Amino acid sequence: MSAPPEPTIVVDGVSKWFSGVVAVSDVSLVVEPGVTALLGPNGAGKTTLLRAIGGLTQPSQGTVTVFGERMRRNPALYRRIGYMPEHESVYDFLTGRQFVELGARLHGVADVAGASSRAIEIVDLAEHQDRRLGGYSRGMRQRMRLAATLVHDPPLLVLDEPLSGTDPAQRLHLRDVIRALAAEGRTILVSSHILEEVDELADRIHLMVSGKLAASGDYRAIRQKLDDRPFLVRVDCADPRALAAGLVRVEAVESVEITGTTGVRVRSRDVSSLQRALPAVARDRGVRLTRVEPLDDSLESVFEYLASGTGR
Amino acid sequence: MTAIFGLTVRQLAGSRRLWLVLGLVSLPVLAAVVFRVGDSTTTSARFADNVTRTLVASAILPLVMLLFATSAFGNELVDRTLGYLALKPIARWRIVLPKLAAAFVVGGIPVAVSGFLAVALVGGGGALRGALATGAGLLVGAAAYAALFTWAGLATRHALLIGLVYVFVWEATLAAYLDGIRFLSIRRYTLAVIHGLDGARLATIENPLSAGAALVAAAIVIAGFTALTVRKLVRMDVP
Repeated sequence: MSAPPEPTIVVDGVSKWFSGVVAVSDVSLVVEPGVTALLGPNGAGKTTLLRAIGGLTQPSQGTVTVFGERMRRNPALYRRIGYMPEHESVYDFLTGRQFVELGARLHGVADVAGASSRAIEIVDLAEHQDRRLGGYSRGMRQRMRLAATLVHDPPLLVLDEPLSGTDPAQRLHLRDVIRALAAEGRTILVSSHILEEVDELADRIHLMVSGKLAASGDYRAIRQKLDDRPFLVRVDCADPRALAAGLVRVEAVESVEITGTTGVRVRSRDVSSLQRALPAVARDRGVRLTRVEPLDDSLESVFEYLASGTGR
Repeated sequence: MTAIFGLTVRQLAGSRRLWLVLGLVSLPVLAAVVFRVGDSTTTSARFADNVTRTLVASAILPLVMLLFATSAFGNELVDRTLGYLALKPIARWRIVLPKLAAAFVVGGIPVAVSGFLAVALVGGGGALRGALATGAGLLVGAAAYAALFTWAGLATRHALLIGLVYVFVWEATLAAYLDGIRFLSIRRYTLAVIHGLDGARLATIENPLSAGAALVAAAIVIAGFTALTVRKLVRMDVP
């Protein structure tokens, strides 16, 4: 039996607070080779945690080790790390190529021109490399920043919201690039606030909510937890009493509440069964449905549910 | 280090403040031209001393260095681009030194050239020696201001305000009249070096520092604030 892969990143009990506001609270996790996603709504503490992992900020508590070494105040370790910050600011007066070459020089790359050309080729921006960054679209800027991040061919990439600002075609391209880089044996940690975005991207997902780690696992495990949570659905119809009477007999329905003269609120843990049962009950009772709407299906509410502990 | 030096020179020289600075450094030269073509009753030596003392060393040099040196890191902090340098496998002093050098080159050299030209244009006996002494003294002052204001630009968001208070309250008022604190005035170092290199220049300054003491004090300021800047960069949270 082969030994489990050595974790590239070990986060141990990390907390970070700013003037009394807790941004990250006692987070422990490991990141191994492959693509790992840090998922959570805006303000969940993802960027703060990534900044602690990248050595840009000192954790108030806890430790971060990367390749077995302390990250903070250890600049030599950046030879093995490519870190793409969340904010999109760049040196607008540089061309895309100059920006990538600057990164290569500062990383001590031997063949600056060759490495820069390869990195720009990977993100498919060779055609635009001699334009100033100030004139780039958001998506192009993201891709050129990715080129500068991987120009020294690091075994670890930390990418904070790398798909943000990209159009669907660019997103697909970047996703393929990230998957290909991981297939070469790299460890890649990406953050995102969109669950579907990480579906085909990440092997493992760490969910963060309100500064805490809410859940960890692969996409299927996270999806299962999401499916297991109670859903609240609003149904508008001509005869809510008749519909409610039918729905209470459905096994998948936990509770039904009549709201006003035209609606019911249905709570269920098995949304698939409810989806099948609802039209059948309406048909049997002769009730015409005018509206079916999930009431708490926003990503934030999903995250809040998982963070509450009931979803673990 | 040349990559960061080149980057910072482009950051500083590419901004609108360059035009303001070009306007400022042209003032002493214009004053010298006006003196030469005009019918002034003042002697060449006195006029040169006045331009050097009241215009170049007291106002233009500190203002220009304040504008450029506080921006050496200040721009990166405002634009949130400092991470692109901090996330590289280079010792922090190798980030600080080229930024300091860039601020010195972009700000200090134009002021020194301006002072040199102004004194040379005014003419009179020993004008060339006086011009060289002026240029050299201004370069010493520029290096000290660069170290002080580069640190301020990294350490506080209010670097410009603090710098203005230092230049116009501390140096222009307190250090000018209180001999006990003349060792804490970069302006006094500048004037002392000029006087030390050319004894005929700025002879009317009361209780001047010796050139040697001024150079030692300037070296301490440069080394001390450079070390503080490196320390700050090592310990700070990079935005």
